[in-house]
Amino acid sequence: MEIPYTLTARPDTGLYNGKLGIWLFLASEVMLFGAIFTAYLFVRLGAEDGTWPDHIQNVALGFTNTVLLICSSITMVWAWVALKERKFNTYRLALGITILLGLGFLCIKGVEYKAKFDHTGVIINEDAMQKKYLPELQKMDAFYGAIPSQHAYEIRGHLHEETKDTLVIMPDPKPKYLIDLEKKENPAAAESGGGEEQPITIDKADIQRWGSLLPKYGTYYAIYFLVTGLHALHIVGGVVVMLYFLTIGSRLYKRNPEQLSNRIEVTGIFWHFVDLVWITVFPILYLT
Amino acid sequence: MSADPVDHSEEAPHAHDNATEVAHAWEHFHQNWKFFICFFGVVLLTVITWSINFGPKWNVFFVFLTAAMRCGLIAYFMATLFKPFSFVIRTFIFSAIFLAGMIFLSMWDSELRTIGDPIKDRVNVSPESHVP
Repeated sequence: MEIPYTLTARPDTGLYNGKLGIWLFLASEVMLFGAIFTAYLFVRLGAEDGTWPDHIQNVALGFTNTVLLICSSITMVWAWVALKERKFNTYRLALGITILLGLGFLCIKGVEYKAKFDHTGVIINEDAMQKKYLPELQKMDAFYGAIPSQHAYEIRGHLHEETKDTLVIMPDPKPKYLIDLEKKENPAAAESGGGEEQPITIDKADIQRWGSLLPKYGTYYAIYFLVTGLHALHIVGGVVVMLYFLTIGSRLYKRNPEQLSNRIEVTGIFWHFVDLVWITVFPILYLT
Repeated sequence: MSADPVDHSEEAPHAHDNATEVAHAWEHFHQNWKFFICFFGVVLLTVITWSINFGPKWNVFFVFLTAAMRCGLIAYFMATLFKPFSFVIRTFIFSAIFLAGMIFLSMWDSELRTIGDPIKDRVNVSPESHVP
């Protein structure tokens, strides 16, 4: 039995089967991401002062990924147009570029994740911080943030060494925007900063908790890894499907090119959706 | 299901006019190309405005402006995709209502009247108030 409406539109929906299927799937995806964005909103609003990091992400890498996805959306439509024109080689070229751009996105995402794994955050008791570590950190113009509700301070940096009783951390420098703010508020004091970067030794007895910047470290990191991880899984799914249509799936071109172009159109709709999700994710998680 | 005005000529076999389809595909491509260039511009503008400190009042203004531009572009892009598909529009309207309902129920469940500080406030809710 031949399945109807694989090529032409069904009269009551105005869509062929594949397109109707992908739209219904995307409707469920909207609900999935919608629920996660809602969770983000609640978590963000509930965050105590000092617990939501700012300027923690590499914006240049995030922006590069945005550009890669935007370009891949264009090449995806190019692949579809090439099939409509029955230019098979152009189709393969365009789809190949789209796959490479998708893989590029994943590589950059891997670099960003690695930076989080290699980075360490330390929450230090308020009293100990003020008495023992603050002067040294201020001297070398290192970053530190107060968490009033936990009577603590946070520093972030790279772990040099861990002993039974101490941690040796190379603290992150103060972000440029903070230095600019301080210069504006107190030009004389700001001039005195800018000391040499050096590791700082912290007694474990003064630490509330410490760890890599992974989901268990804080709410921001939990929602960051959840959203970007889920999005990356969608990219992986899209790339796998495109690889299929570049190789085994492209045999359909000989039998029924129109059906292959429909399949590529459907894949393209999914890819656009993944692109739009990223464009929503990038500002809320990176530009904080 | 309500009867939509549909061109039934599509159902006829071999009714494909390939030249028209190719022209339509190119039109679609050009539309997409322009759209994504606009999106690139808006995201670039978002990054630039984020990296400049305009002061508390203007920072908020630019955050809202760029967010509105991104939302507007997404809405425009979706509109260009949905135009001929009434069934899909209905599906998405349902999705939007469903999502709004979920948000409302979440807030109602947490006994909040506004989006405020749900996590903190929830801790303060007395156990008696959860009795149905």
